[in-house]
Amino acid sequence: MQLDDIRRKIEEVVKRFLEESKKVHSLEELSKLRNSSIRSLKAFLAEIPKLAPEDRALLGKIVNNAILQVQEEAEKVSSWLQEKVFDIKDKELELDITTPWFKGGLESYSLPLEQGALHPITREIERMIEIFTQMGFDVYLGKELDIDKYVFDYLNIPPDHPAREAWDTFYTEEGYIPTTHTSNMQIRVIRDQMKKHNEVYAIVVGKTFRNEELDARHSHTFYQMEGVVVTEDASLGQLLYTLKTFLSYYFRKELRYKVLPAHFPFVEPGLEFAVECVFCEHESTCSVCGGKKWLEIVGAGMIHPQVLKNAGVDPKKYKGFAWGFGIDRLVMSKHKIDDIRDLYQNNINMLTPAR
Amino acid sequence: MRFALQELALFVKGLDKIEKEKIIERIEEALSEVETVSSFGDEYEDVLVAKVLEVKKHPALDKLWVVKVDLGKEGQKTVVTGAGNLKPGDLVPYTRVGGKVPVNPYPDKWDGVISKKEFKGVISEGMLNSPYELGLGNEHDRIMVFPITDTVFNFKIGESLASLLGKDEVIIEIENKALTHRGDLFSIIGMAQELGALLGLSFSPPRWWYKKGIKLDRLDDVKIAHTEKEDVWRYVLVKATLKTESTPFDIRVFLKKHGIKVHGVLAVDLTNYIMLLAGQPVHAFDLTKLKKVSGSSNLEFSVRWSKEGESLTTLDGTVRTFSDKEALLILCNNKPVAIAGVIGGEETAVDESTKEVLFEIATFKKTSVRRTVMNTGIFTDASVVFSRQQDPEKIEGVVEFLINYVDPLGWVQKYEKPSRKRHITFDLDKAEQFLDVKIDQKDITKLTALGFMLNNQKDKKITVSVPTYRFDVEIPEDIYEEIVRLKGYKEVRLNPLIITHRESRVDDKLFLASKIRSQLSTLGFIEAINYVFVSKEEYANLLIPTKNLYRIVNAVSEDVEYMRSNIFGSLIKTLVHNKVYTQRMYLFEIGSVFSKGLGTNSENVPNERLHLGMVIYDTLRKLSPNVLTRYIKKLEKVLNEKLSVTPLEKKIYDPIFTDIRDAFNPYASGVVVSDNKVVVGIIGALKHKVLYNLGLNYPVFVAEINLSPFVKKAKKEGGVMPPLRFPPVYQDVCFVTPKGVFYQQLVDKIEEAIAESDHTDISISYELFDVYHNQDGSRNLTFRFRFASFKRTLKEEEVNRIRKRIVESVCTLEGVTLKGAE
Repeated sequence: MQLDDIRRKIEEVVKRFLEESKKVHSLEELSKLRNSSIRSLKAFLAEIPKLAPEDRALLGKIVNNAILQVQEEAEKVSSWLQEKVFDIKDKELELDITTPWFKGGLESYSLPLEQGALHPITREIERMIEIFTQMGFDVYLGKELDIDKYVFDYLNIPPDHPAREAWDTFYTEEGYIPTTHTSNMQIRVIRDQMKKHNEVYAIVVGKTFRNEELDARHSHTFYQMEGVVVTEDASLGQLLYTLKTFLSYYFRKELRYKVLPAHFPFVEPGLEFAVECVFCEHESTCSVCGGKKWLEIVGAGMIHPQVLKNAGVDPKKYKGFAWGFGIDRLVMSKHKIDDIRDLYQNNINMLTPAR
Repeated sequence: MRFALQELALFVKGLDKIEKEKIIERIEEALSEVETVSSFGDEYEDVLVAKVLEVKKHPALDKLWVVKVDLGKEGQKTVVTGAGNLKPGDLVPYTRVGGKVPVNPYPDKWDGVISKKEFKGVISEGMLNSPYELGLGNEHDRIMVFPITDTVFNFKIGESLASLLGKDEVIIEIENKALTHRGDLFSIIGMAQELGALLGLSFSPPRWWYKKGIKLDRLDDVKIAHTEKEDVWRYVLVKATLKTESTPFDIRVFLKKHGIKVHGVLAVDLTNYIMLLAGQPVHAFDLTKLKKVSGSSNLEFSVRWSKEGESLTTLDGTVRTFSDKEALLILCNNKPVAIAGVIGGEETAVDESTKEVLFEIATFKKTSVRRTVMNTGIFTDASVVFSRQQDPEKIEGVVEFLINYVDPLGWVQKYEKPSRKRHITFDLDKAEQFLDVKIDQKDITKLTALGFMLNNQKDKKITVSVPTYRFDVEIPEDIYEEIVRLKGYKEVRLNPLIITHRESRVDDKLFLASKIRSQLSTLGFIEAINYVFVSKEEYANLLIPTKNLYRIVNAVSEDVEYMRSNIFGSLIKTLVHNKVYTQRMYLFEIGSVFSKGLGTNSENVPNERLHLGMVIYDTLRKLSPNVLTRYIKKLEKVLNEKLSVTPLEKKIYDPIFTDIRDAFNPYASGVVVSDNKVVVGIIGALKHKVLYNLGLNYPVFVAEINLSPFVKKAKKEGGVMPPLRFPPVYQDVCFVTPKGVFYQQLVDKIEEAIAESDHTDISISYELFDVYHNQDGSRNLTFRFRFASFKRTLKEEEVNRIRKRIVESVCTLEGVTLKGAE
């Protein structure tokens, strides 16, 4: 046989494969077809010794290319078939979704008998909200994706301010910020409440975010609760009273407290509020407070006049205070969870409440 | 920032008499938390002060020396050493056999423990140490020789260096970010003043601290041509020759205590020393190199923002090419020689051979340095200090200090923004009301210990002037803080907050979420809370495109690269995580979702939406996705809205539902529609392809509901229906429904008929009572109708008439017939 004849025959095999492969219905059929085609292509190699020396290498090349072509096409058909299989399986499920009825019909027959459960964070938040609403506070939900103006600028933290180092901030391509604290709501809450009541008593709960690597003690996500009060006579003593009262209710125990000075650009003066550790009564080394005997829980302070001004409030007439604290750590301490990631892993056993 | 208490005590009279616990307590009460408390010198336990008695060349080995030393009580020892810089009478460090060298010069080859060793017939017992081995310098090639007549240290032969250098020393560390507002405390002397005020002790700074004016000659070969007025407040250059090249011992120890690397080169160590002491970073240029690099012996300096393409090799050996306005640069004859406030250039750096130095002592605006740091990513000790505002007024003192160590040849300066004293007037009554603290005259007087001056006091109106270095004090509230800080927060009277005249209002979104949570948990669903961040891979598996997702540009890992546009995807993650632990999962989550498709509000804040996600995965029962249709119905009461489910439409005009619909099996999914025909959700089975991607072998049913339309109505209270006085009439009606006609279409027809019926006094309700699947694919849908009147017992004809209208209405649907009617 001449090289040209062989070439024609090889082309025929490939062509036949291309046609047949369009008709297959299953992956098994396809692989059968593919294997037999490749076998017949390889058979042409037996012709090599009969060819003129200059044609021998060429034939090898032609056969290899043909095999490659078959294999590539088989790949394509295979993934298409895979899709088709998925589609067939999907179609097997076809039903009238609008019918509020399913085989077996009655829920009692098939659905869980047990009550569901709320996430431990939700349970804690609901308790906190309950305490604050009983005290007379309004409750707001935090905004999670925000703009620089609310997260930093309005809070007296202009661009290039070194205080921004304290927050490891995420940015989106558009420059939006998954908020680093619930304080992004401060201006909005003050505006809203002043318009309605000419004074502000509000708390905010929300998810907040920091650009941190996850480990047992660090999380890029955590919940915060923020409090804002603006009145004509708001004072430092009221701030301390409010925090002490809330935390005593929350821990169901009259608590001693102490104040550590701290600096946050949006308050003046700023402070950290600590209460005696409620977890280490019977242990000398406490995993929660680390033997310090104090839980530094809350960052707080008297609202900076500039922030009031930014919210459209006259700081000569009105004073205010605000605070913020992380909820996750409280939940962890209370339920003896030592890895913060567990709060967001949603392990089903952990979410089912213990009796 | 680290502070050695003994160094602070040099400037606070009586500090050394106060217990460290008391000092720390006061700092924590009035300034900031103390991060760590540590001792100093423990690593020198095995290092003794030795006196050199005799130095001889090794008899056999050319490069070695045999040194006999006296160790006092421990007798005399012979040590073989490679360094030839010793002579009899020198006091040197000696590490004993069995001891560990503080800094191991060969960490790869040696464990650092000294053993007895023979060098060709001479036995060496111990080791004499170089500055490098003590962590007190870079010098490897010679033994450290202690200054015999040191005024700070009293070297006793045989004494351990641990007790000599570190006896009773306490190092406290305060987190830098806790002092961000207090540039003046990034300095030992500044902290000493603060401690003095806090403890009621008197502050006695070195004499140069208050020095005003610089009495040196003006340089004519160095000029400052241009500085950015806003960014560079003061720029001073001092030319000097070094009195000695090597760093004095006490400076070395001082740096080591404060955690700063000791170089052993005076020009370098001196700048670090003054930075710690005074909070003034100083840069030293090698003048000879500077002239060479700038190609002239006349130097013209300028400070300005970088231009595109300018470059500089910095001290750390890195070549940095700047973009336009990326970094504030120091230029000499128009060639970059340093990054202002951050790091110097390698080509002009001082080293052991430096003779003439040009010191740069400058004050930059803190935000300018910080911007440079953020743009270039270079953090240095100097940039940390400069990022907290420093006071140009202290430069004169710093120059005076330098003159102790160098011979000055002259100076030049550009002083664009002199510090001005601020005056603040406040009202004592207002302060007391604000703080809930009783303030007496003593409390006001105490402010002077912090450098404030009482200018004027008229009745209750007090005016103070603020020291130039206290940039954080601008308004009366800042003064109030100083008062309460010094007095102690313990003095603040608790003042009850009583809110009497209003009713608490919970945010509608929270209110609704809370109602749904309680409803779904009653139905057996467990609540999950997931991260809002998702990865590309997760969404690829769910066949959700990422084009509409917000992408985080600086995410620490790929897992947090995008913000989620739906809740069900997160629940699927929960499911995959849990499938080995349980056989069935009924999960839900309520949370915010994000998509560029949701647009922004008038302030350009991206809109976010509150969504509910539900997932059902049950390996114990063969369920159909209709189970969700039933659960959706159960939410109607909570949402105050009538919901219906219709087959997955071709077009959904909702940016999020459009993006997620590809995850759903089109034959077994539907959209949830609100009363006014708006699509508010998708429910149904996941595609097999998605299940395959996720490695799930059982069907998964999913609901994604947009809660936003229901938020406003959440608090609407339901009314009460009147009581029934007459027994209702029940009738079952069975429709044979061909394939392709949906239940919802029947319901629409029933509703139509009811709406058109004129029997206003009859209440008609119905529910699906039974479904029977026929062989041919059609279904028998049986409805049970209830007809009730509040006024009378209904007559059969009345009911039949209405029923007939309903049947007629439903049977207008193609192929639908009444069972038994043919």
